[in-house]
Amino acid sequence: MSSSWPLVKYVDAPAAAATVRYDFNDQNPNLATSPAKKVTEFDPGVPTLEGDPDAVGQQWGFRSPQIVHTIRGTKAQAMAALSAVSKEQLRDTNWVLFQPSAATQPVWFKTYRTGYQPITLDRVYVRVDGGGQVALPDTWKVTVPLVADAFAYGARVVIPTLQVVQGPADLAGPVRGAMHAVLPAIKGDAPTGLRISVTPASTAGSGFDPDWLVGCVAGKATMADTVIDIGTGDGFTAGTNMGAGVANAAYFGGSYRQASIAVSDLSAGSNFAERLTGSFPVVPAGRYKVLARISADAPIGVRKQYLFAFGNNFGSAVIRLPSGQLAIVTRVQYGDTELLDFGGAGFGALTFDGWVDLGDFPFPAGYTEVPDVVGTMPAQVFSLKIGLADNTTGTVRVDAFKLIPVDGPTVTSANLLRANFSFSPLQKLVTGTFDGDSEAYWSTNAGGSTFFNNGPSLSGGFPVADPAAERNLLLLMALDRGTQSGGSPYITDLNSQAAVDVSYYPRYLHIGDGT
Amino acid sequence: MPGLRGRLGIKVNDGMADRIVTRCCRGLKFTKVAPGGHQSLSFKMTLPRNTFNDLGPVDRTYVYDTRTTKTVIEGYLENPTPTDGPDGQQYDIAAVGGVALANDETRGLIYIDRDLGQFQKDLGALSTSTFEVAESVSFPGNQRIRAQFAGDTLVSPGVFGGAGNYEMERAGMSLGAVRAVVVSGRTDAAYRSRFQTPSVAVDIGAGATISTAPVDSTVWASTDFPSGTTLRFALYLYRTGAAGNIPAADASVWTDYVDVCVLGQRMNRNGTLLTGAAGLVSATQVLASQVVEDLLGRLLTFCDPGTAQVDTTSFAITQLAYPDGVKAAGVLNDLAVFESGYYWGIGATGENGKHEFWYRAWPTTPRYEVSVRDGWQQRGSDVDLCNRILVSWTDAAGKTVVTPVTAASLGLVGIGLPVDDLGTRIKDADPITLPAGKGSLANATRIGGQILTDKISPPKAGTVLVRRPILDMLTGNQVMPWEIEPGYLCRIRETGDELRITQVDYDDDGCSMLLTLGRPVLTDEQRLARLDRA
Repeated sequence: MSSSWPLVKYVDAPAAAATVRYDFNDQNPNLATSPAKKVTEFDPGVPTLEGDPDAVGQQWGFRSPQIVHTIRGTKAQAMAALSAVSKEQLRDTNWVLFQPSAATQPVWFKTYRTGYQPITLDRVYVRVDGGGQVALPDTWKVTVPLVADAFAYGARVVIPTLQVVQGPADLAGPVRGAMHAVLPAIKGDAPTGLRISVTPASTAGSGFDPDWLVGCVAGKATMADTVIDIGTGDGFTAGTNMGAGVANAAYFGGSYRQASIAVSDLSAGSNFAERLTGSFPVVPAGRYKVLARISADAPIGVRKQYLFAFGNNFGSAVIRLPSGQLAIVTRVQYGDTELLDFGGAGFGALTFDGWVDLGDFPFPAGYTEVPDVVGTMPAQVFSLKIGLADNTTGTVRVDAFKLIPVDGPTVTSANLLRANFSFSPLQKLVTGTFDGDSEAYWSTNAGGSTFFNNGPSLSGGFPVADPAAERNLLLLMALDRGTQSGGSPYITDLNSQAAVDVSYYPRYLHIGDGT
Repeated sequence: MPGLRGRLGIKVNDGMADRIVTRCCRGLKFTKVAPGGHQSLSFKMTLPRNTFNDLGPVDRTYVYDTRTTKTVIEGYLENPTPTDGPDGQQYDIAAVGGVALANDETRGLIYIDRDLGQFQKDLGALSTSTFEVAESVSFPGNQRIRAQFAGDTLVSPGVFGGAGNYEMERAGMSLGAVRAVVVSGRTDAAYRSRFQTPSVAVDIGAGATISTAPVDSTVWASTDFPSGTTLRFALYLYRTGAAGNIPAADASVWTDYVDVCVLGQRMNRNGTLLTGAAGLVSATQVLASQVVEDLLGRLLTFCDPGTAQVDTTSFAITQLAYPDGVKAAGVLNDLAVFESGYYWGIGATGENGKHEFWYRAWPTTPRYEVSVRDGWQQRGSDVDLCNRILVSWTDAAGKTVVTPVTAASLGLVGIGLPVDDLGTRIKDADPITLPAGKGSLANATRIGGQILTDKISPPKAGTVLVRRPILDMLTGNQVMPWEIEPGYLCRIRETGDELRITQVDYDDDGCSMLLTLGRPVLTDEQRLARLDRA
């Protein structure tokens, strides 16, 4: 079988080595078994944009490529070819490879079974001298309509393995990103789902079933996912029963602050008190998810239900109270109260460490971005409340804040996925794969040959990268060390390392028509 | 083409595994309400019909904001409808939000009951003793139980006359406290007024005697009788002295128990029974917030007590009893009649699998600011020119009482409303009757006042469509339509109206949120139906 340009084939996968199911442009076939075929026209079609152009959400509809190809052979052979095309069209999904010339890269259309237009076996006519047309002998024209995904797929792009560490700052030699990695320029025209495989280093991750946050934030080069260290020299103000910085090499920046929660820190019967206040460093204005890295005391056999709330300080203002009186009021807007519930199993004294998701907040507080006005964020005053639901005593060490940009002038799109593992692992000697195209997770042993049972509970959206963005920031955070203690060090320990393999299919809007 | 237009993700959990199905879904719609919280959601899911074989009411679906992983709405699946046909295989998914769980279980609940009809003559009482219910002469306007030994009766030590109460036993709720003003027809140390349970007897009133001086007496669970196990009790007049004959003309050997309040033993939000005066606070009233705390510990155990928000209320509810059983939603909706400035809701589950719960005051400042550019419609209502309403209710003795509520008493006269035109003329609105079990003077005044206020000054209501980011003044964020929450005030920029958001309906096809603002005027029937027993 010998193809000529453009290449137009039904194949079984979007890959160069895929098996050919039907070749529309096979001009030198074995004539004993198959007729010669030629693509005389290939229209890739265009997808439709569904939804109002100015709506906050839109969707790309299907596109309708069309192939016109001629078959040179007996009518019986032509009928057989038509039957072969029909078989491919009747598959639930299929792949049509299209490559205009040797100088271009192939793309694949993911096609679907669809309602059919009549496919006819038309004779091919040519003009003859003296006027009129005659039918070419044993030459047949077939028009094949298709329905395909909005964007064509390019060959899978595999990004060289990245390394990330669960630490506050990037490490050099070799480069290891601090819970993140900047992806190289994304190929294609349209946003695409990422396939992300995470393999914790063999020296880390002994904890069973730690939870992970995996995401991709696309935006400007100035976009930042800042870590704010808490501890010695942080410049923050200690609240109720919050200590000064304590040196400890196991914590970010080599220190932490400890809140020693008493029964009635706030008032009789309540200890959900303000423990820490201060000003954040300047970050690009926008909306951020805020997480706090903590260690909590969770004695075995004692149920501890820690409460956390993060607040944005809007400052002071003169307001008119419902009573009509004027008053000066300082407003701190707290987010939802987050609960860290240790049941009764506990982890032991201050052996739990991980990240508490405190919600998302605008910085500066109350800021509304305007597209044509650029400004600098002032230092943002925050407040952190910690207590226990039953107002008993407890101890929490606060190590750091992490800000993840999720919206605002520097962010094009953010897609975060939280994976809560219970009976399935993503720990050392395990490779966990999050696949944005199929919206699936699976895990294998390090060799990749054996699948593990079960999957995590997933919430959010699978990571998507945007080729139009100046930067695609990959986020990988081990949120806790897991539900059981299985040895040390844990994946959440300072600078625990994991290898990250990322790949994706580039998505193309315009392909050319092959002429 | 399947997929959502908003930055949302959908997950289905069939009990075996979580499966993100966003790319297979379309047509997402959901509704949240205040009061109520997460109400319903629906979408079409284009997947082979054998993908999920046993989806049912115990399975769940979640909608996330993919930017933050925050749960936007969560629901329990109705029996799904897998379809197969010309449009291919797909599921029509419908789910009910956490609010549905508040309608799960029915239980008898006695928060506070002044209904003296629940008492009956004790089986062991002296046969010639009498027990009757009537209005107190000493305390006009209050009903009393009188236990009396008739004249010309030989009373031996230990005999008694009085009434037993079995309503807690029937309701299945333990007794928290009993309060009564105890006064007798004579002062005599040969008799005592007693409160008795199957295990303890407590002298109440004047103690080791009966007395003509009234004594306000309260007995509490744990302090005076066993906590958690006391289901019935009796109030009676008891002979302690030597045997004696009551002269035929002597009609003074009686004890009245006036304004008897029976208090059920409430729980705290963690399900621990409250005890004593310190725990139960009052034996003559309950607050809506106390009732909500009890519901959290008793019926709403699927909600997270650790993060539940319950704002403290102030209106003293003097009668609230459901001896025949009620669902949590029924109680919460009743409380809205007493405390219309508060609303409740059940939201998404947290990491511990328990739902968020809130019972909080309607804010007084707006959270969202919207424009009418995408669609605004205000609902009208008739102004009923009236300045008084008569509220009928049944008192503790079972008699019908009529309480008038006037516009003047509500402060609605002389402030420029159309009702001023009536001058001194009295024009009654249609009278109403409170349902059984909810009758008290305070309740009648409260509910009559609400109805009359609505008739004189109807609240504004309307709908507004949001299909672009709007300002959330609470957090300072520009929020997408799907992020808008009910239970807050919304300012309409063009009209300046600040209205409560009572319902939000998201439609992903238009990526828009329809906000129902304010509340239409309830009909009398609707308002009473809220108060009726569930």
